[in-house]
Amino acid sequence: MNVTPARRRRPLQVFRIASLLLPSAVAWEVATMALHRTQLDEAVARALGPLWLATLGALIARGVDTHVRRRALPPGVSWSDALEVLTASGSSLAWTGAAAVIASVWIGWASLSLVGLFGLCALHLVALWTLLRTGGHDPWRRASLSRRFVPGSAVEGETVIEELRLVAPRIPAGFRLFARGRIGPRWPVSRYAVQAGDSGAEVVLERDVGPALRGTYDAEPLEVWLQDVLGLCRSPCVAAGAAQLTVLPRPPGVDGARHLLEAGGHAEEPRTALRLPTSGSFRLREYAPGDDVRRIHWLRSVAAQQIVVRLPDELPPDQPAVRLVLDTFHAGLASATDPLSCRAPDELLDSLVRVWVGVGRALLERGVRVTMVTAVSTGGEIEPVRRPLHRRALAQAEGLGARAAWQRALRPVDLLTDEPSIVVSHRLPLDDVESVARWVVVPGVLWTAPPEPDRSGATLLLAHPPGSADNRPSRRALVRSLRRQERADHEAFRVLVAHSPARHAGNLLARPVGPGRVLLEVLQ
Amino acid sequence: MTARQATRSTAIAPLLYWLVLVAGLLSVHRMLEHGESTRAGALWTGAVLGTVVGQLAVWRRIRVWVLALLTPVLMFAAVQLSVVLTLMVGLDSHWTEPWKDLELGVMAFIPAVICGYASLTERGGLAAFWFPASLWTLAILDGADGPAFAGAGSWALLSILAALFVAFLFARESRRIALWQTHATHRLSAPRETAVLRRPPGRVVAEAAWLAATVAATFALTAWVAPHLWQKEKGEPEGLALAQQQAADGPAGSAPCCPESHDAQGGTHRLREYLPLLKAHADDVHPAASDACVACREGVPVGPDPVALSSLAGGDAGGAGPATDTPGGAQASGGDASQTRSRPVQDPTLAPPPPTTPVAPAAAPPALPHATPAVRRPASPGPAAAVANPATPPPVRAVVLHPVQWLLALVASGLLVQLALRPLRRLATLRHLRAPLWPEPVDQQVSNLWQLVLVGLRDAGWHAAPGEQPPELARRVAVPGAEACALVLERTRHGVRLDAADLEAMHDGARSAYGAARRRVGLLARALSWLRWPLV
Repeated sequence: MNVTPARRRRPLQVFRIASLLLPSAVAWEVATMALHRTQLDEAVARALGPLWLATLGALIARGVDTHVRRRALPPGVSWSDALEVLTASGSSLAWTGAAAVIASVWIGWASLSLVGLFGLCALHLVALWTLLRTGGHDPWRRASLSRRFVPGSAVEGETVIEELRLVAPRIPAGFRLFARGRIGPRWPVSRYAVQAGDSGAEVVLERDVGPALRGTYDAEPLEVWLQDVLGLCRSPCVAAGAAQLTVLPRPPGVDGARHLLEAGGHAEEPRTALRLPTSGSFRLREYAPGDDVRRIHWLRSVAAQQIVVRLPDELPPDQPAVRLVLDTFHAGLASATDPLSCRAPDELLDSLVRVWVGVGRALLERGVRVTMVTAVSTGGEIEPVRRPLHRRALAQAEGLGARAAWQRALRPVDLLTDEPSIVVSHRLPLDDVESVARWVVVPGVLWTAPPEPDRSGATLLLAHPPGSADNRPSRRALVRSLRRQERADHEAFRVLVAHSPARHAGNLLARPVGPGRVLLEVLQ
Repeated sequence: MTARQATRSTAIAPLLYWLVLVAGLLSVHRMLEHGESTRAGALWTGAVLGTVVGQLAVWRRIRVWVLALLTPVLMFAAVQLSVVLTLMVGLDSHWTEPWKDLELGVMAFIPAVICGYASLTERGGLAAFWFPASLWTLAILDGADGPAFAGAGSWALLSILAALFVAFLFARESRRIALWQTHATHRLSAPRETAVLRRPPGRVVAEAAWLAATVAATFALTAWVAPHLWQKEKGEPEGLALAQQQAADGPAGSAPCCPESHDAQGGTHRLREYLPLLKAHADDVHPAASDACVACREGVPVGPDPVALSSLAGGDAGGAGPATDTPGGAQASGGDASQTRSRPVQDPTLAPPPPTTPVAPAAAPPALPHATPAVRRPASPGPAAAVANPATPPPVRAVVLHPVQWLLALVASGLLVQLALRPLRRLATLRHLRAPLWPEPVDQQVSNLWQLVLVGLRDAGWHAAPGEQPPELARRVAVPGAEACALVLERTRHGVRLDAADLEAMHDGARSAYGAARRRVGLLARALSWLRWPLV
């Protein structure tokens, strides 16, 4: 969740660690060399010397502690993370303060010496306090942080509230507790700040993270750290707050589902019920030779003075059964090592699931027995899973849709059987084997949006309010780079989901026609 | 953090910056004297206009290089406009040194723009603080003549400046957090209300103590080291002619004014600072003076009777040179920030006095007021001045309070009064909640007693969560008597008839809960609760 990648942070961390002592040392070296004042040496040695030595000692102690406990450190946490005490503002203050002291020596303005000393003294005091009070696991020892989402199982588009409950957090005086996290890559980031006055308190923090996005999530853990109230120093981050969230797909209303039935030929003729010979009371006729004598309705025969037989009840046409298969196979989009950075693959998958569930419901309303089939990950393995769709138990099928993800193990043909099948896919069938089923195509071009244009590169104006860290040139460059990558990935996505127009006849195209509505059109 | 809280947090930093700036300008204004009103005007205009331009630019998110291009244009336009206005209005007749004042205005404008811009940027906090601090520095150094502070006033100003510096960093960090929670490149979740279910009382004291300790340590270290970095420069004889004339003539019918710092032989020096507004001090060599002089302010005698200088003059006439240098005299008298401004006594009709040689202090036991470099204002005599002429009674001087001091005193008094009233308000409120001071209906009495329970729970750090019903709160806190009170309150809310026994049970329960809740916290927390307002 760090904005800057880890490999690029290492030099920055070393620079910030050095900024803790180096600027002051340089400043006082310049001052004593230039001014040749015994009293200055004495004052620096007696006033700031102990402070520096204490800071250096605390820094060394933390380094040794980190080295000793290196096996217990969470993965991805290095010694530089533990020793990086200064924030960006603190590092800037260190160098600015040192520059002010040097400038006061060279230029001679007394105000520069005051300002420089203010900065350096405050920085060293806060840094020492930070090193002493925020090392190790002590601040988190008795604290309890729990995180949950309300509702725990939401429907796509609903508002989801993230609730963070802090019980007895140990926030040293002069510090604030910060937490930052998100559910997943497509979710908004939640940022929390807890005042030091809430140390030992019980606090419930809430954020509105909705609208919900389909999927089953193990939310990314929160990054929690302490930072002083002057914004100069911080503690290492710890991870906390695991939580789960399930977001079911919201099925749209589907227009044109009748095309699936008309053209499929699965609506059969009415047939008689295979019941006992004595059943049936509504259709009567005179006895004809050859009729089963057990069907004679004796009471009516007496009343009618002739032999009357009862006919078996006629059942309506039998419920056609269909397997509704969701095709989530895509070798390019399911890459775990190098996923596309654009949103289109997820948007397309969400659309596929929505259409899949929506078509299933539409068929169910038309009296078709629908079995939802797709390939989902179960214990790390991709397996086909089928769930019958019932009018009063849609949640099971929707839960299956929530678990759907791009996979590269099972193709659609692996999910087909002899039963009549309808495949909801992002493409048309590739061969005759696949053409056995009818296909509902959800094309990526219609269901995904291109990346938003980059508005952070205004020449004359800052993209964010002044004081925001996102205005830093490094972050702007990183964001521009990410946007460029996103656009390139979107182009790659368009190529990946492009398909041949062959074998389209008889299949259907799903087209969005409004909020929550889908139109199925027969391809000619 | 809600939008309102974010707005408030982001507004504090620029407001505090303006407070530091205006207080610094007022300090400098006080240091300047009557003849320098145009200089003060130029300084005010440049500083305020520059800060407005800088903060307006950063508020409108203008990039720094755009501002760097615009600033010279704005500055040129402002100078042109001021010149034209001056000529049109006719101020030029009163404007003795227009170019120097314009230069001062420009000198204030440029750093004000830069620092005003930097005050709202992410990493420019210290740089932004320099310009207001340079104004404060002028007041801090006023009267200082070496690696030491001039007096208690300077110490006080430096301590206030240190506190403002820490407060400025605090406000900037609050602003950064508000921005961090509301602005980002990626999408942020929307904030909702925070519910505090329990908060240990007294934590605010620890916070205040930490901040106070940081301020004190920063101040002490800076005050220890900074004076050793100060440097001197040669002073300019500003207004020398006028001062010389006044000093030579003296007030009508009286002795001439005592010399201050400038002399023909030794020259002057002053501490080096960006804005050249510090008064110069005489170098170690001092001239002979006339036989008697009087302390003056702007040429008007304000001090005691004329001081006889014959003993000094006699020594000088003897060819051994005047006893003008008193060890420590410069520092002692220079430490008096309220000295009368005067200029060296030089009779234009006389030839310059011969070179003088300093003599040992033992040769002239009583240090002479005019021989010490800066006896300028009569408000607070330095020890050297008191020793100088034992026969002269110390002058009675009026205590002149600066407007800032008035303002600070007023604010402090208001805060103290408000703080002192809180226990009284609490006492009266609790008295009414326990037993109404005027007749009230039963349901209102029940509500009052529940409020008493809530006050006790709040003293112990318990807060009612939003939407939490009284029985739920009572169960959560598990304080004896609270559940009984919640039960009676619920009956009242639902319109169930109450009798005297219920009211009595409510009374007992509320008092029991109030006492039990308060017994759970320490003495300090109980004492602090008397200063809390609102009570719930």
